Amino acid sequence: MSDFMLPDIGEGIVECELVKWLVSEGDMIEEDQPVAEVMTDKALVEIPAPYRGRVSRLYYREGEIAKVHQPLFALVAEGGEQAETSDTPMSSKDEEELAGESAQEQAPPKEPARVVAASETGEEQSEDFILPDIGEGIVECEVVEWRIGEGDEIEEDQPVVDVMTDKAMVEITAPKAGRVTHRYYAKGESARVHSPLFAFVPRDRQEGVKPATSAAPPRHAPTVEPGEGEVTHAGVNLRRQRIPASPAVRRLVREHGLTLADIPGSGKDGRVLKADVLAYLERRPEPVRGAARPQQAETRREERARVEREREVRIEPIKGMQAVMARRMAEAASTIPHFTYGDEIDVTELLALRERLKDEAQAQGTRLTLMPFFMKAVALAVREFPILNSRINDEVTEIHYQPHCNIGMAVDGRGGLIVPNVKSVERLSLLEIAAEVARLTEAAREGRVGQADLKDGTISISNIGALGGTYASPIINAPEVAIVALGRVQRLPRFDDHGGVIERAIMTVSWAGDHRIIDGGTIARFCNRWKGYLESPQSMLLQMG
Amino acid sequence: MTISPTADKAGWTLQRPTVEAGLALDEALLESICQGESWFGLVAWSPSDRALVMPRRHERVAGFPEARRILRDMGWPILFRATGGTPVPQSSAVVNVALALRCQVGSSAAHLEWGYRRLGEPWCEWLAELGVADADLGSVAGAYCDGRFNVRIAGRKLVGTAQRWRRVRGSRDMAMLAHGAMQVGDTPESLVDVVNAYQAAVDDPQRFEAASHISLRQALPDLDLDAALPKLLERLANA
Repeated sequence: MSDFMLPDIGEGIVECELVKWLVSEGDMIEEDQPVAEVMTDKALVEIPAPYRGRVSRLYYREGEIAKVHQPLFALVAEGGEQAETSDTPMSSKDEEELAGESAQEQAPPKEPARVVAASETGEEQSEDFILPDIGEGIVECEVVEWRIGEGDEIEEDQPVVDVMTDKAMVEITAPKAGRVTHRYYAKGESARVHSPLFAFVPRDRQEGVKPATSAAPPRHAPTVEPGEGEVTHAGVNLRRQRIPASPAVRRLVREHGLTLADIPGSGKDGRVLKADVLAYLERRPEPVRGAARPQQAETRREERARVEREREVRIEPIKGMQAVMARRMAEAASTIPHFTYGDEIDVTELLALRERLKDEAQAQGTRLTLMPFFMKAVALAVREFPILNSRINDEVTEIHYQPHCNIGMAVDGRGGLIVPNVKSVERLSLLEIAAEVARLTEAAREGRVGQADLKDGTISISNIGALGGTYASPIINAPEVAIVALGRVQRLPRFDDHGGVIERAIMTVSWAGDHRIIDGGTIARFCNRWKGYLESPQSMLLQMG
Repeated sequence: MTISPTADKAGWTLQRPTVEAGLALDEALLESICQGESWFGLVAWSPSDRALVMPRRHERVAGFPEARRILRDMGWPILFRATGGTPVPQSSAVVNVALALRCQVGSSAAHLEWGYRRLGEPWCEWLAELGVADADLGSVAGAYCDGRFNVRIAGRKLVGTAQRWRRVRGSRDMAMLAHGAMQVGDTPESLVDVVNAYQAAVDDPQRFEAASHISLRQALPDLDLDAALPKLLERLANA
């Protein structure tokens, strides 16, 4: 028995309503027979059977919501009830391969249809590694760096590729040892979740198809003789529609606008080899219908480039972290009424204290900056003004006071603006905070901040002054309710208690609060308390637990 | 009444069937593709009577029988259509255009976004040709049967779109029917009120707003629709 996965229906569509079953459990159904009707996006779509067989299970009731790429129904292949005890004839893996083939075809469906090559897929030896879910709502990510090349041997858990999601860089590791046969995306391209990222031949399979000189098969190995270069599954009715070819050959076919079905395969079981494709190209007297495409594409690209040069506009897509920043900042700016409050803080004593402590911190392996002091002072002030460390529920009917002070620090990272946070600042020593700040800063600059470091922030600090500037108007990092931008420290003349002019280190700060729950008085009082800790840093000692 | 859908340009004249016959016309168009009899079809029709049309699954809604009676008494019988979505009033104020295509879709079951753009973008171009500067595709808050790909004028819904995909017999190709219903006459209020009456009858609290809709007559008061419509069909055929 194998599960038939609900296939892709449209871009970005992840679920649909099961409107009607056209078959019942126990029914024998034919290949391509309509099995169900699903509805989404104002469209009713008929789902056909992938092959002949008996329906053994329907996973949803009519009216329920079915998920794309999740089992829709289970099917026992024709004459292959024995398949229930063997490898699945069309497993979810097969389905993923099929889905992956589709995901590669960025072009719209052809109309009218000419041949059915697009549904033929499957490399007998290779497995596609499907880019898994990386985070809620993330449907694609950018391929930042391939760590391996095609043809490379890889070990289980070896890093294969770095991809950047909307929030962070994620390292993808090999699921098992083997040889990489194909990378589906080039560096810089956007890879879609649930589509093939790379293909590889697992090492156990490479060994399994060695000629007879290799060791005898294990006692419980399938009785099916592994063909040379092919692993056979029982009851694979679908396979007879597939034309065996390696991913590289398929790519060659695509690049020349050919159809696999048109090319006679000289390999075993009709496998189409690279030589077959090249021979086919040479044999064709007239230009292949799609053969001119690369040239046309080249011409189009040149034309586009020329037009762009003339217009002097350079266009680049907004993607990855940039896209997330665009979306989240627009949302925060348009939905949260920001109340901005500025003040200046005399950090002369704080700087002196940092000078006294930094060597000792350095001796303990930690670089002490001012940021740990700012964070600790925020955590202390929050104890008196917990509303600054709260969130509002989506309906704006409740204030959720957060149990810990997880302070975010806006970092101008490799991939764009990100805000990792130091967890539970209220519990940490200055040295511990400094160590966390250093760790997060380095990770952000390398673009390797983990999801955990980005989640659950409760209040944020932007040290924009490190780059310059004295005032800012920061946008709240929703669902937090407050953020402060620190200006640069300036040496400025100020009056002392006796009216004399003295030089002081002055830093301006710009707070933004969510005016739905934080009023001006609250933010002013909170800022005064925070400022008090920073202007007289020893006073923090009285409050530290 | 039997009306034949056609891929023949000569047949691209506006037909005036009953709503029931018009829906059958759409079905026949799709069926001809499914049977492998044709690769492409296009039909335009405007009802000679009126009905509130919705997918059959609405029959499952509690209170549906009573709602059906109420609407029938109002002169708006309920009929079912084969595309997705929610209730849409059909009357002589509405022009329907159905586009059917045989498509190769790879391993996907459908390509909905492509289908909507295949229908909607030529529609927007046609409106631009008629002098409408701000036609585009998108959703419209407050509109009935809202979707991501309505044809809008100034953000108001002019054309509602829906689709149905079926397998072509004996083939892995799929047959797509993309349907657009454009309000050409009357006021948006007159049609919105019908949908809201249904909403009330099934005890659904959601109500729709006339301000979210626009009719072609409001946008182009002097338009000769009979003269202009063939250009829309031509664009849809040649896109």
